[in-house]
Amino acid sequence: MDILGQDSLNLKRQTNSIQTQMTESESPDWATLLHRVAEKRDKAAYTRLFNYFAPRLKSFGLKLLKQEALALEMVQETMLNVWLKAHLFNPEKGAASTWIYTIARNVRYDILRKISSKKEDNIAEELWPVIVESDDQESEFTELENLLLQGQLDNFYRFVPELQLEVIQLVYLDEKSHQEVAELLEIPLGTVKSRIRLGLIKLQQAMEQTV
Amino acid sequence: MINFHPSDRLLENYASAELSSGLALAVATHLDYCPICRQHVEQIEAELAQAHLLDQDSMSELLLAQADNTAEPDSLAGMGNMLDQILQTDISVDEAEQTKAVTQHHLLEVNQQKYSLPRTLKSFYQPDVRWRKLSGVHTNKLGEYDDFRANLLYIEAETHVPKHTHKSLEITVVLAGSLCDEQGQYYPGDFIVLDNSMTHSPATQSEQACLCLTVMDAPVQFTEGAARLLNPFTQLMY
Ligand SMILES: [Zn+2]
Repeated sequence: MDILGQDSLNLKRQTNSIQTQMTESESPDWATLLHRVAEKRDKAAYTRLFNYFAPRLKSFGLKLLKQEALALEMVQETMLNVWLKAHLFNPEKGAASTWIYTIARNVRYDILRKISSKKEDNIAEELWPVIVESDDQESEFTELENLLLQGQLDNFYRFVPELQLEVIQLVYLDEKSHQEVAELLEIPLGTVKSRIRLGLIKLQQAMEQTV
Repeated sequence: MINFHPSDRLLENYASAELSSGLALAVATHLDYCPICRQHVEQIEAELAQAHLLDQDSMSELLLAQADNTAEPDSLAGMGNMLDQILQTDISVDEAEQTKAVTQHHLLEVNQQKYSLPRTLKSFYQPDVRWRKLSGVHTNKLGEYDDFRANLLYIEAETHVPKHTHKSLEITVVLAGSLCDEQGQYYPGDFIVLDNSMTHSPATQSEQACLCLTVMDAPVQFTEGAARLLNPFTQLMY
């Protein structure tokens, strides 16, 4: 995972002046065409941009997204942005092709987010029905917070029947999976889950009585 | 002064659109704050644009691809329709979007403090999503992408978060205020990477709360003493 290694003070990021020269030498002059789109909604200028960039964006999109339909969605979104937001292009900041490239790159991330986005945290719901069912989670955490500060949380575990406590400790303190606990105690997986659930109800009841 | 930056490889993978979308959000947020990395990424983008969109090589590759496409002319026809559709899109669509963007909630309020979010995060924050609170730490879920979950994290002043580790990876970008842990003191823009080889116990100082973006792939695990008993509840904070 060295990709995630950090540079704490990067002196190495001095500008490399060689790279800027490509900015001025684009031909045909895409920047001028973009300018005409921005100023006059010039359809002929836009069509030239489209005919050149759209197929290239599609082949770039295919490399990244692997699916024809997603690649076309990326082209459509990107080129629509070029049409609608041409006025945001600033030739002093970089080449037209770079501007279009970064739009495509951002669209690609948007598409990924859209297809990978999960609606609800169903893991939490499955594991913690007691707490999730409750309407006001905030007040529970406030109680917990107090308990933690006073170092009293352990006391509440006294209210949990032994069989349930055993499972809760194995899962949360020893960090075993439900399956591992089931195998260790030679009980069905469903029993592990229900003991956790019942144990937490007890824990919660104990907290409500004392606080 | 930003002292903690993403690695060069992370920036390169961000620029080339190869990061997972959750990690990309963290990098893009850092770029909102950091002109040094932004300049570096712009350089890479110019090179990549050249390679993917301008080079003769990509051109000949393309012509080859088009030659192959004789078998499926649909893809090119699809692009023709696309051009017509786009040209028929009225500019007022964009103006309407801009008005929406202005009214969109980019001011957030937590613990009676107001914050303005960086550009990248504005469209992700939904004011109707409830903040969850645990021991001075408030979280608000921005979204869940691939294996990563993005949260806003607000830590009240003078709060010590119990020592914890992460099942594999947590990236924190400081948005406002300041935070410290065993490795240092962090300020807005700082990009902090933690993996499962590290434990830390971040804390805020007096009169200085901290707002962060966190992107992580599993719930936090507390590692010491009574705090471990909180592990059942971190599911809800993650
Ligand atoms: Zn940076």
